[in-house]
Amino acid sequence: MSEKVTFQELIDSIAEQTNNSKKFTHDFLKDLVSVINSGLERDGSVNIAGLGKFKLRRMNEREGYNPQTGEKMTIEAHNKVVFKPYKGLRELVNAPYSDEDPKMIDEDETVASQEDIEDISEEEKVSQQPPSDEPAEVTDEEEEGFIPTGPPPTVKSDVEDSEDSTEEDRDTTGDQAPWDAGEDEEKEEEVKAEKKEQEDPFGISSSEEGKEADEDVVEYRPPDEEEQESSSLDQHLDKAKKEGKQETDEAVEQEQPEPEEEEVETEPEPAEEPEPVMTSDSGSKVSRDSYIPSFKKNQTPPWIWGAAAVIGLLVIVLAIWFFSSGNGADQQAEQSIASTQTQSEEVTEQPESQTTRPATSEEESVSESSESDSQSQSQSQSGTQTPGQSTAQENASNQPQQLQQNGTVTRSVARGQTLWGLAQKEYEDPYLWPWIYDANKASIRNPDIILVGQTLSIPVPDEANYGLSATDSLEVAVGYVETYRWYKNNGQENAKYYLWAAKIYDQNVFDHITQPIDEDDLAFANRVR
Amino acid sequence: MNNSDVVTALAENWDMSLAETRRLLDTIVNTFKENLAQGTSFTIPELGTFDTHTRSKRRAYNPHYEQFMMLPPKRVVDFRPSKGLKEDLKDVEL
Repeated sequence: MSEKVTFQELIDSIAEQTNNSKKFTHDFLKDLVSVINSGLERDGSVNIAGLGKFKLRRMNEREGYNPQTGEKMTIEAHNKVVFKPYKGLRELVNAPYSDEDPKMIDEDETVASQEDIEDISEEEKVSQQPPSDEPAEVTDEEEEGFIPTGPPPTVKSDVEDSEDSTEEDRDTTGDQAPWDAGEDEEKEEEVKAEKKEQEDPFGISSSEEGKEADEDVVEYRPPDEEEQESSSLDQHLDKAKKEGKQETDEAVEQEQPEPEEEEVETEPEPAEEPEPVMTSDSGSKVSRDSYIPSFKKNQTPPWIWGAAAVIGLLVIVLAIWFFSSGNGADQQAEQSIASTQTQSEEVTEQPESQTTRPATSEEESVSESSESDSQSQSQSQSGTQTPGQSTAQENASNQPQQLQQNGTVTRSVARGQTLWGLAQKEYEDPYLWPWIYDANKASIRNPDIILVGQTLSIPVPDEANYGLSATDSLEVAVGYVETYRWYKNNGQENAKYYLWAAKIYDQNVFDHITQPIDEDDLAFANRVR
Repeated sequence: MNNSDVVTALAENWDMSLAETRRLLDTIVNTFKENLAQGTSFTIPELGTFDTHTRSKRRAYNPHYEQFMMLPPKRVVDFRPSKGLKEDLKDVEL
């Protein structure tokens, strides 16, 4: 709620990033809104990748009041639009508070104070103070260096608050998050418990008062139980969190040493009070489970570095092994495919440039280049690559576009366009062209030949990110198998490489193929993997 | 309607390739995310307003451990739909 940015500024920023005109970006955004609107109308929910989900929720009819007249009225049933951000966005937005975890507290503790939280209005602050003075036992201790939130404590033992007041001021300058200021009491107790554990694990040192007098009130636990049960894990955790200073404790590190005088003064008084009150049986539960160890604030244990180094070495060794074993055959196949690709480019560019000058029929130019194609073993389709694409885009805009229901987009083939080029344009991965070929088997007889003006259905990838989902990969692999089959039937030498390529996209693609495949080629494809 | 459908609809309307529209949509979404991460609020006409607010820390009860716990403050995203959107979708069949 603090800052606002205008719609225009958003547009400007997006236009700049994408090198589009502002008008286009503006229109595109408007269109996005209408797509969301129609999507909600149609399906009731719209997912936007990386952002969240817009949903329609039904609100039942209910009774309400007319705010102006005060009389009852019926609010009719209606839908409301709800937005639920995805986890990534949630975590991104919560980043300032991400390092804080929920902490277990004993029942008797009060809701501690807060500082500098946006939500707290001035009125709240003011209204809190008078009520807090009411309970008699509280009066002494609540010197308001802080402002308690929420209702006045209903539970006793507001003892801790005095501690807060002394430490609040120091908090803000330290490493601790402001909201943790109120937690000092808990940390102090932890520290205290630790120290007790170290120095006096069996409660040997006489009376509780004697113990209490030593250090800060650390936490609400029955000291006898807790000392023995708090683990070294707690120690680790508390090192970074607590604020109190131990007079004699060297093992426990601190972030903010406090003047000892104040501690001593306030200690005996509050220290004694919690004792009789703390009878919680849950004390035993507190020790182990209460503190989620957060190594974020602590130094990473030294052994982790050693383990990481060992794992890193293992990974490197494995990688080298894989590359050495798989490299030879892979490179071979890729090179052959790539080289035929370039060959066809060179070969087809020449006839293409000659034939496009004079106004020859589109089909002729296509068929001419396809002849040269069929001689070279290639993956590229008729027409040139990059020059073809640029002309294709101009022409494509003149062609009608339709949206199919089953996750495909319909495009018309433009002059000079190839399946390879089409895949590059739509998926930014030209190697996916067999997917398009397979989806249009009915209209494409020869994978090397597509006709200008031909309408093809381009399958749409499922995933929001740029990778392929499993089903998509399978479809691509099947496409490669079909391509292999056609090339094999038409006497291509390197048909088996397409089979090999099919396996890349899906390991088990051959299980899905009903028609038999030549044994040798199958062996080749399997072996090279 | 999932993200792919949104992308296809946009690609179809604007005659852009799937990859292109996807990238543009990603840029838009990232711009939104950046603004929200900084706590800046913004309004999209006919859609609604996105902003953030901080929930104060509060006491909660963990029934498994039968113990109270203190939840830290949290910053969350809000969305308030615009009037036009609300009106349009008020009586849609769900």
